[in-house]
Amino acid sequence: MTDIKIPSISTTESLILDLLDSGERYGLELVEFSRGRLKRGSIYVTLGRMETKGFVTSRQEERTPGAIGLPRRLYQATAYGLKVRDARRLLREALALKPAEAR
Amino acid sequence: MAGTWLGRIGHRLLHRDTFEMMLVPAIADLQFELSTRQQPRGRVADYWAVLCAFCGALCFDVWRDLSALRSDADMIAFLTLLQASYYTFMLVLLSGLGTGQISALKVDEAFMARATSYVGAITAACLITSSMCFWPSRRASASDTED
Repeated sequence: MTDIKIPSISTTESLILDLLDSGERYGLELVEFSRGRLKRGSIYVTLGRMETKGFVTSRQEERTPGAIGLPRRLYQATAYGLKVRDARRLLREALALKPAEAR
Repeated sequence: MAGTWLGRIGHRLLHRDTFEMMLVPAIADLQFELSTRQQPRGRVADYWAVLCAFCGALCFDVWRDLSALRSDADMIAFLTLLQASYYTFMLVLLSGLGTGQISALKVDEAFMARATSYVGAITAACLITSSMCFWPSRRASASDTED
């Protein structure tokens, strides 16, 4: 029997996927919309890790003429990421059932 | 430009993908925020956030490098043992102890504690140098740094 590696997803990653469900967002936007649940210092590391896992994809914004500074990065949830998030949610709900309800 | 110095340090210390995925977006958002904000308020907090992102990225890289070293663990252990044996022998030689004095040494708890601390320190130093030989490279060629 082959071992199936189950992807791990944290609460923070699940929250980020919730925020990205509606479309592409910048890292700073995610921090703003999370209402203090995401920290600015850790969001980029979490997003980078999520990109490695395949939960999100990112692209650099298109530069407008005269724009200064580095191009910002836009993040988008992948279908795989959303699937893992939904599976985690289902699992949590199933485990939250009382034994009598689960029968 | 804000955060450029941090970008330079990050470019040197981080893997290319970590640098691009974790530090560059943080610096880009910092630059965007500083250029659009009317008041200079919260500048320290903004820099602090980028510094936190940099530290997080560095920890991520170190952890990944340590994981990569596991495949070479046996060779690292062999090299460490080889070096530690050599330097311990040299230490005994340099301490001026002859064979007569060594046999007359009083091996008590204090002596054992001191000997263990010396050998421990030598082994730790040798482990660092051996690990460095196998540590994944950051910026291998000069052309990489030019990007």
